Amino acid sequence: MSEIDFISIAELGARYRRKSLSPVEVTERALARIKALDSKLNAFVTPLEKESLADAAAAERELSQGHDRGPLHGVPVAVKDLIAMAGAPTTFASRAGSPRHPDRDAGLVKNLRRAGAVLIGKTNLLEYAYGAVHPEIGQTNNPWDPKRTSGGSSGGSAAGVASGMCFAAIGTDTGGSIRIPAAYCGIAGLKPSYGLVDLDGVQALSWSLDHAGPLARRVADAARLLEGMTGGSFPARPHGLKGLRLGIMDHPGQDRFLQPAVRYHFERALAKLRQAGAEIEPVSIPGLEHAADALLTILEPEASVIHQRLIAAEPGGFGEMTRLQIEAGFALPATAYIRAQQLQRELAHRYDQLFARVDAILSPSVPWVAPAEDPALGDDGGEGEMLYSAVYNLTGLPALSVFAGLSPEKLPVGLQIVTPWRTDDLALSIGAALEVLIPPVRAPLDP
Amino acid sequence: MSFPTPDDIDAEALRRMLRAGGLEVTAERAGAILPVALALLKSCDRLASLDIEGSGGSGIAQAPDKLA
Repeated sequence: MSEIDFISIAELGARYRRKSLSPVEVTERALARIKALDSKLNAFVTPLEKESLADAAAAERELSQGHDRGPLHGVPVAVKDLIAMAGAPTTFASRAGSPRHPDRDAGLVKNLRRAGAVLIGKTNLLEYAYGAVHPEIGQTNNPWDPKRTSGGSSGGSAAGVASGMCFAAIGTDTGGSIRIPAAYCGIAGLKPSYGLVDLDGVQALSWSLDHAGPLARRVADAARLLEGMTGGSFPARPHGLKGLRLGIMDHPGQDRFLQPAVRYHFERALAKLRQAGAEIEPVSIPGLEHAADALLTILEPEASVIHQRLIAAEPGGFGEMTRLQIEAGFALPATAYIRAQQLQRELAHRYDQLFARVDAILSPSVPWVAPAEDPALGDDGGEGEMLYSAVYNLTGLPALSVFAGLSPEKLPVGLQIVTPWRTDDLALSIGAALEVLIPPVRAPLDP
Repeated sequence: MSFPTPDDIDAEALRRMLRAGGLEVTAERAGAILPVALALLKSCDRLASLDIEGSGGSGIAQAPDKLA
């Protein structure tokens, strides 16, 4: 095993520019790890061996000629397999409407190519990002314990990053689908502010709630990927903690779900932050207990409309659980959808008010460590899994999951940092500061 | 007002609701969908009981203003 597969994107770039490492060599290593490990993990639907090696050779040539595209130049990055890439099939981890062969890149893929990223493959997901594994495709297993799930729906992206198959990956998040797998796999995952990342060419699940964002082993690496996806600037320098006002959100019902190990590591992180000078106070939002209801009441009918033609044409191509969710969404009354939107608006307003008092809001990312399988959307387990994440899809606020520790069975625990609208760099900067106090740990899986 | 509750709905009622929503299914298929639909309708029922100051529209619709 080599450290090279796990170094930071900044270190990788420095070695490229010193010529002590080359993009082709690093891409070959990443492809070798995919070959060696993916039979255990099922993280990649389509590795892009030929294409990524060509991208890497081009990056190497450009760098040697002094044409430097920036921090992502020559860096192997994976893409969730519901995002269009010209020349690569998109399967959506489904047998319905699959595979598609897009003739153009999604907007964010176009940006990544412009930034010089080496697109190493398409990663596994819950079918159409909709809460269930297609039985013929199977779940992505967790690099910390392959008998457990890596989480959903961006599980392939999270497992690929955590196991050193790539340096960062793109995920999407409609109720927690970046932050949940990031927490289960012990890496950083950002659901950016709603609207920050262009979703052109990204298969929709729910127009009102969908986000695309980065997963990476370090917060700074996630920031580099977000820059590549958007063309924006997110320095993510560790934020000063002295005097930083942190609100600890009271999530109604959490005692029903919260595992002792998650509580322990969350409280340990708070103690470290307090010791470093942060001011910590409990906060609450009226109506938060209905966030999951509102999320489902918006998501389900939107998903049903999105998949209306496909469910009529190829119902048997969907896994049974996904098919049932899509079908059931047609029964929801329009009045319920409007009520959910009203609560969405009201929650966004209440969060705005709360941010006059605090700079950021903290909670666990998920109330438990990685289970054997993903719980079903809409049941008790699904409600628990989205307990901390769903409200930030409703409100569109930036929400970052970072590593907070390992449970006694050596499974990662995640901590969520939420900041005001369009202050994604603040969330990243606080995450980077926390990473100094609690450094991430590498997953033990190796060939 | 309240939305349909689990007590009001059987497979045939669900089949008609799905049809109104734009999906044609058999009565047998409606029976398979029923438990998932009822769980969703419980969410709707809980939302219906809330007293929200309703000006309508979603919070997300605020985005362009916030970006300006």
